[in-house]
Amino acid sequence: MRTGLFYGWELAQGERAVDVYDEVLEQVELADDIGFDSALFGENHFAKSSACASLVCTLGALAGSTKAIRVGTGCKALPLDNPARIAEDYAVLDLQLNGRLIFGVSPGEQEGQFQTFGVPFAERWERFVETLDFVTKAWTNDAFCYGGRYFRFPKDIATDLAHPFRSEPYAKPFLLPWERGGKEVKYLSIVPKPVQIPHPLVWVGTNAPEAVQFAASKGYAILPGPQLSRSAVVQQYKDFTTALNEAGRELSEVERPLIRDVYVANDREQAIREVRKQLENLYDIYFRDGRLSGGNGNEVAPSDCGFEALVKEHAIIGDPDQVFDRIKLYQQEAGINHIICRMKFPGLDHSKVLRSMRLFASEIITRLRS
Amino acid sequence: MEFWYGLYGMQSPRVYPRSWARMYQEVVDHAARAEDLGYDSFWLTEHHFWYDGYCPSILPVLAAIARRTSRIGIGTGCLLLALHDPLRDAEDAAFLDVLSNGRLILGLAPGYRPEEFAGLGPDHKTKASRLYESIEVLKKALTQERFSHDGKFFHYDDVGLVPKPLQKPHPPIWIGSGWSPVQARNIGRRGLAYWAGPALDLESVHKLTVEYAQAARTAGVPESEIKLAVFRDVCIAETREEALRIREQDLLPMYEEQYVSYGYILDESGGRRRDLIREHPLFKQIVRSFIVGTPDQIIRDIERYQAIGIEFFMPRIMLISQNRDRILRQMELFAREVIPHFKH
Repeated sequence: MRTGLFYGWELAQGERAVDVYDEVLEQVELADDIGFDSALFGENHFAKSSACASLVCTLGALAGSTKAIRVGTGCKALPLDNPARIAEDYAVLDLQLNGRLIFGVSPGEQEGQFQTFGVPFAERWERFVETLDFVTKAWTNDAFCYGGRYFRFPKDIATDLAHPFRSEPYAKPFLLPWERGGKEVKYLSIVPKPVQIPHPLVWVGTNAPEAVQFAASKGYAILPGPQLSRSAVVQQYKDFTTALNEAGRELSEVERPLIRDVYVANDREQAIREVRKQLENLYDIYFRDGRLSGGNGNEVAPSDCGFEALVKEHAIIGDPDQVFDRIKLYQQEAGINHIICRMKFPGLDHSKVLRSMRLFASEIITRLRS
Repeated sequence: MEFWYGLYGMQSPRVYPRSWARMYQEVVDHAARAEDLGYDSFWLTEHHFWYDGYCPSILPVLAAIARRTSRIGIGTGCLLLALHDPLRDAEDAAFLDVLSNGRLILGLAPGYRPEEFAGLGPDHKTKASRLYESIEVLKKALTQERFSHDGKFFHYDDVGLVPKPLQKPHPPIWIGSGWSPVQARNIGRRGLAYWAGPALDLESVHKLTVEYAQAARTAGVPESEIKLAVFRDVCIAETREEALRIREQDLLPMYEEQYVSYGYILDESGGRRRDLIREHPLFKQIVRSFIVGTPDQIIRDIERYQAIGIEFFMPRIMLISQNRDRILRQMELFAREVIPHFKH
């Protein structure tokens, strides 16, 4: 079992964006030293309730200050950017990280951001699929053109929905790459290429209903989030396994990550006392935004289910033994092999996060690995 | 005088192929070294779709440098703003300014290679007006609590950037420009700082800077806003013979490669005869622009730039064909022997 960290950049009332960046980077740098395997970051824009860190610059900064930990997006909302720039940005990041990039992707879920960037929200799933197709093709091919429904590359190419991607055909005389500058272009190559072959790991954020089938058909991992209840997680991995099998694949071929809210202290009462308020606030935000799913897919208010239910269905809080047991339970029930912990809750003290991380590393990581 | 260090393009050209991944590790070490040696800032440069991997995304690389250094400025030289969504650049730039504790310098340019416009979408013909509208959006986003914008290219309604940059009102903005006097005048008229064109001899630079400063003064721009920077290819060594050898072995092959490959310098039949390039008038101009020699000779050359009002000087010691040990040696020699002469 691998272990990771997740940051959604949520802010508590009175918490300032500029104060949390250094804390978060320090936490991930510590995680790199004490044995965590990964750290993922969410994407946010223009929200007072979020620190809205630039994804590319956060990952870039960590490329310079970490050595072994994988870092990545959790998730990048693909429809919000120019697909060519996404391919370029994350290829550069994979090079900076020497192949340690995890490319978590999603269709995006916040309508206001789509309005600001001028992208129709209703088209987000189709745009997501097309952009991911473009980006993975760009990473794995030399000169090509792409005539998609939403994106054409180069821009004058005609849309061809049956075959949007076309590799440059052989031509005589063959022009070497350095003989091609300043000409009319029908085909372009996106460079530099990433380190990972065939391309960086792709994980699909699973808020959209189509996502499980889609990920299975491509052989990408899914990434269930903290807002999914335990029973919903089990169901999602069951559906995913079925879909993989139908596509001729096995669950063991892909990474099986899961994001949970995790806090470890020496005893359970202390753990609950230290994070109860922050966690309830966080889940109230999810509930207000309609992003909280219970076992049957219905939304359950945190105030209806109480803190005990929150801990039972979503968060993993307790002493080292209890946290270990709960993660093992997810492993048995859902088949996960990578637990990604959100340890920095909005408003939670930096020193408490570090203490929880250290305890997790010394008491739990080794046991999970064996 | 300020000394900028750059410009890193992160290229692996056929005349000096190397590992991209290794280069991206090394550039951070070079920046840390430049900081130790006393350079004022460290710069990367952007292009797209070129076979050698010319860096298309410089902000995450500057972020790595920001995290590993504490004093040196970090610069974009230039961010090709007319090819981007200015609101995205504003978000990344503001975050990077916070991350670096207020060390970001924004060099901005429209971009010029037609392939880049074809690939990324904007119209080549409107690049200048798009650049200036993008700068307007960028400044609004970086400085106003919430802003709206209704322009020719961009429309935003009540957007509030999070976070805002640390430097107030915003990080310094420079406009990088080519060889056109019209552009020089435009930049002056708008009261923006001017980073004059590459590969020009002193006399040609002077013509442009005069155009720029006159336009600025005519428009009533305060003297403190009229700022001039240049970068020049520098080959520095203890002896002039060694400096000339560096020019011959490291610098010239790269220019021969790049200017022919890009299609700037073609032979009479439109072909790419690299053996003819040294006789080409443009290439001769480029060679005249180099600053080559011992520290004393280089100090005298830079003093001439200082005399025409250049306060920001970037020795481009690294061009991509050069081997690493030579870069670091020249970088140290320049810092030890040349910079102190201009710092009082």
